[in-house]
Amino acid sequence: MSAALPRAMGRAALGLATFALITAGSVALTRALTAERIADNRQASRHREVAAVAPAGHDGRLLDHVVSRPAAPAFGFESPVSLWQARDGERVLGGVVPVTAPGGYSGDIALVVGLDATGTITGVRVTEHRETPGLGDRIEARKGDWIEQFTGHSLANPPAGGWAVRQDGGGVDALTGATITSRAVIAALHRTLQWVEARPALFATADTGETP
Amino acid sequence: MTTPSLGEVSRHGLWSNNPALVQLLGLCPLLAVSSSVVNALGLALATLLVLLGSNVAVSLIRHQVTGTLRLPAFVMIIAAFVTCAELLMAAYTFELYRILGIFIPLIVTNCAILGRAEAFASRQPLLPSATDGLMTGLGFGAVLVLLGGLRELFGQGTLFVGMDLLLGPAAAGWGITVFPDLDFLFLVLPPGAFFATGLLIALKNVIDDRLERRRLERQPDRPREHRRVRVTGTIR
Amino acid sequence: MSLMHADQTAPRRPASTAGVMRWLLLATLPGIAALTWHFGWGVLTNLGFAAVAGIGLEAAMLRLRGRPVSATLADNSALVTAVLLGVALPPGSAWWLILIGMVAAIVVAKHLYGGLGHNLFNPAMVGYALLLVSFPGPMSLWPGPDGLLGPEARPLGETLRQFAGLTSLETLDALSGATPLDAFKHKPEALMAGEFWAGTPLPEGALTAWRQVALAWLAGGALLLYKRVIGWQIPVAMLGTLSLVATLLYAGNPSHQGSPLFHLLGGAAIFGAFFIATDPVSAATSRRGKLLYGAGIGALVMAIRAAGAYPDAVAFAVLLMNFAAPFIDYYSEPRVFGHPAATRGIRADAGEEER
Repeated sequence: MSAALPRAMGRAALGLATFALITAGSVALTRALTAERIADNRQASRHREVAAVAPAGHDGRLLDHVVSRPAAPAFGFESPVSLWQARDGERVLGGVVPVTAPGGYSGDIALVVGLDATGTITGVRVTEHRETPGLGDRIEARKGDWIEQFTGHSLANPPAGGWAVRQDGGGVDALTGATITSRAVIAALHRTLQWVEARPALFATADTGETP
Repeated sequence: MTTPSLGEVSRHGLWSNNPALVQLLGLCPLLAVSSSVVNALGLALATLLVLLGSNVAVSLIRHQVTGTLRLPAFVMIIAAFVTCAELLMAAYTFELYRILGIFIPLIVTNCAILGRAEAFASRQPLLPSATDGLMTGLGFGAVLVLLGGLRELFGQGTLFVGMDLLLGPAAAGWGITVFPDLDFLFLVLPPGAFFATGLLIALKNVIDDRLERRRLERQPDRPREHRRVRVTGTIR
Repeated sequence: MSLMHADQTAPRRPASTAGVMRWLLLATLPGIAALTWHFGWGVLTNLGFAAVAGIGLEAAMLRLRGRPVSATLADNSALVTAVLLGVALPPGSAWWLILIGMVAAIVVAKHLYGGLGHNLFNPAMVGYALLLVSFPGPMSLWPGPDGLLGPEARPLGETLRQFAGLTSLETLDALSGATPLDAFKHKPEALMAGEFWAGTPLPEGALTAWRQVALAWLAGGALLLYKRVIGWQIPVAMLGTLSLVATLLYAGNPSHQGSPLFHLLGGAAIFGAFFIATDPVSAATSRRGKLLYGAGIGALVMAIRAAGAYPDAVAFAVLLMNFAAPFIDYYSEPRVFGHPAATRGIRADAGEEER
């Protein structure tokens, strides 16, 4: 076995490299051809989610008006918040806040909460969750109307103590058999409303600055 | 290895060597994604495309790539096809792509694909290989869609809901509600998929038995074949 | 001559299946009576329909499988399955719920696996678990302890409407209370156990009702033990382990864990220990195996109650240990008298013999 083995190895390496080039090249080509479309799709899908809860009358360019606010752990925002303002020209009608509700039955529940300029909820949707099928997953709008009941409510409506499930002395009926899920969602909404209340400038101007 | 006739190749892929019912390959996507017709059809089409593509590609290079290079080359081909399929689905059927999620890249782990490349396409000319890929893909897809239909019908009481995610707005009105208010979670969850697959395998075995008996009745002179214990049909 | 009867511990005579099943049915009577007394007519509609469905399905399956119908039906095993599932379901369950449960129990768990004696899993618990997973809504709605005849009692007509499936889930929800285990599991995190019990978390009398039902099952279990229909190993090991784990948890965090007594009497533990876990077909068979098997169920029940998604877990724990029963038997094979010690586990040369 003189130079036969190294030569065979060299040939194999060359062959595999050629192969890797061809396959990677075809993947790269497909990617180049589809990248723009995929980005558009993501954008459109996000827009649908946000638009479903945004206050009515906006100009349809929700995703263009991103406003950032620093993290506020006391209100459940562990990392900086990027919310979308709903505008009609220069007038700010409200906005949509992405919220994470910790303490669901199986992990965090991701929500988008739409609010108008007075701090009244214009809609809530669950965007991601791992709750039990048949019980906790009825927080999804397509599986039940439980999540719709928050529309039209604000921090002061129901009055103090109302933002809790009935078992805990609050005013909201928990989903049957999914008290923990219901509790997590309600607590997150309550905290979000308090957070918005503490920031009266949030929907006052079309400003995108970092004022806390 | 002799080249089998195209009819024989088709019969194997669709029925007697069906990847889902006989070889029990690709069970992971089969069980996870078959909760509705649209999900099943989406994954079935993606798998079919990958199978067809990889079989054709492997057959084309079968004389150039041999020996130790063979398997790594096959894996690269399949991975490239799967990635392309994923990108295309993200581009053209985005909502379905989001629902199927991880199961599209997981097509790459479907043993049926590497199995067909290694056992068939690497030894056969282009046309039989393409037919084999198509028919195996159709056989897998048919079971997947049938399972999706069963689980959607008896789990949620509906059929063809959300077909517009795959076929465009024209299919938006296809969804029909057969049993209103039905919510039989067992069938919607993965254990129900195991159970339904078991029933389909049993059904196939019953049909095979009937066919065999009828064949024997037609040829009374031939001695009965040796009976063997078998689980899910004969693996050829 | 008297040698034959010298050993008092030896079983007297192998009892017939029908005989065992008759004693089992008899032993469920105190529990059924207590359940009916506290939870009303719904218990009886459950039992009646489950029995009809059970016998019908059993007969149909026997005919399909080409087995003698009436002779096999006479062993009462389908009736026992029906009774065990019937008392486990929320009283006043709708007919379709009971029917689906019985199909899963008799058709799937029993006959598809080869009939009585071949089933790997306890049929009644397969039915129960399937329903619990599939229909969490109706399965979590227990009526309050309104009694059978008292002023609060739900009239028979109302129960029949419920049975016919005419009462909506929302109406049922309003009429129902949680089981004690369920209510306790879902108490707010901030609430101490003491505060929870000081409040009125449950319909009035619920805890008492559940305790009395559990004690009634205990009486039935004692009868089974006395008649030697079941051995002591499984119930004792299961309830012992359950109490032990509950005590440890309680000692570790008394403000948020239920007391051991609550865990023993507040749910289905007693019923499960005597009537479910002891099923001779799906349980482990050797004495040492039975102890391990029972202990496993007790530990699993507490693990799921403490950390799982469901408030009670007897069905899941029994099914999980059913899986393990053949394995336990394999490793706890007793020494046969006059033979050298049994080889436990898989022998190294076992594969060679086959070839």
